[in-house]
Amino acid sequence: MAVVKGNSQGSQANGAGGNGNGRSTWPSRGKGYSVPGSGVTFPPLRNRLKALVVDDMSACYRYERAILQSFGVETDVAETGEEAVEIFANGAYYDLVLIEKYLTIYAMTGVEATRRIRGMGFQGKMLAVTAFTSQSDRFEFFDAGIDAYLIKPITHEMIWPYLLQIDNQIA
Amino acid sequence: MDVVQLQSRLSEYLKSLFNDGTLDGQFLQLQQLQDESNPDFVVEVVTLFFSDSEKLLDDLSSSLEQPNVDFRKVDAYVHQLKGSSSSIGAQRVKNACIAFRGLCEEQSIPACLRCLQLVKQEYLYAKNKLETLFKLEKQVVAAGGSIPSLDAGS
Repeated sequence: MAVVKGNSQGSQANGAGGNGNGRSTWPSRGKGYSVPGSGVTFPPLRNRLKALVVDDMSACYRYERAILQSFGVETDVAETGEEAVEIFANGAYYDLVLIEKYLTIYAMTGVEATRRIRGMGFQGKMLAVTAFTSQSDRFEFFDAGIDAYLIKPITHEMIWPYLLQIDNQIA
Repeated sequence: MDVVQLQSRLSEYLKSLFNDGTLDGQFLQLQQLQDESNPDFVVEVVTLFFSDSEKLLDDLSSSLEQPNVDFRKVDAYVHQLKGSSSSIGAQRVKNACIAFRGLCEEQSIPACLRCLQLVKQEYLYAKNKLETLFKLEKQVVAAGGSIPSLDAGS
């Protein structure tokens, strides 16, 4: 059984896939996020989004979860590719997945997990969030079904366009 | 020492960590995420970095001691350490990992062992500095003061 760490409280929905059947229509928290000391303010999202961070480095997933939570995004964590795949196989719904390439050396990689999650019909946004970039790494990930490739560490400015896109796509 | 002096000492110490390259702007991102709902966020994430790193450094040492070194594994560990160090702004550790990755591609065991020593040194240096920083913060709080913020322009 996959262990889901995060702040979602039994909000797993019916049906796998990202077509909105199982999504929550909770209103957003109603407040945006202001980056302290920078003068940059992000307006509130209209919808309550749900994200899954797939990374086995605890400092990385703790940080990424904090960034997403600061936008009011409910965020779970899976530490292995196998956990992430099991979560989707059990019918969970997410609007966004952030996934690292190396997940517990020689267990299922982030690339393989991406391929399997897409194979289950998940159509939500999937972003590779990883430490190094190379042509072959990018090609592998895009071939598996990733939508974008980001280099760690992510920032509010990097993730915001994707959250806005997802938010705007929801009626 | 009064609160103002403690706060000043703390600010100067933090600035020195940026000046000597121990930390980069990412550390400020961590501080910006710390608030009333997450009052110990920075210490929490940095502590997680310490435990991630110590395991990875052990794994790296062990991998490089094998009779047939699996460089894909070594590369993967370096990748993870770079990700973890960059997430907290441990710049010198991150840069040492970037250099290490280049050596993994060359598959030179002696060079990798030397680089591993460098990464360990940078990690221990950063750990020592961050632990001192957190001690100074505790002193300020214990004296009734608040932690002064340092923006990127300071």
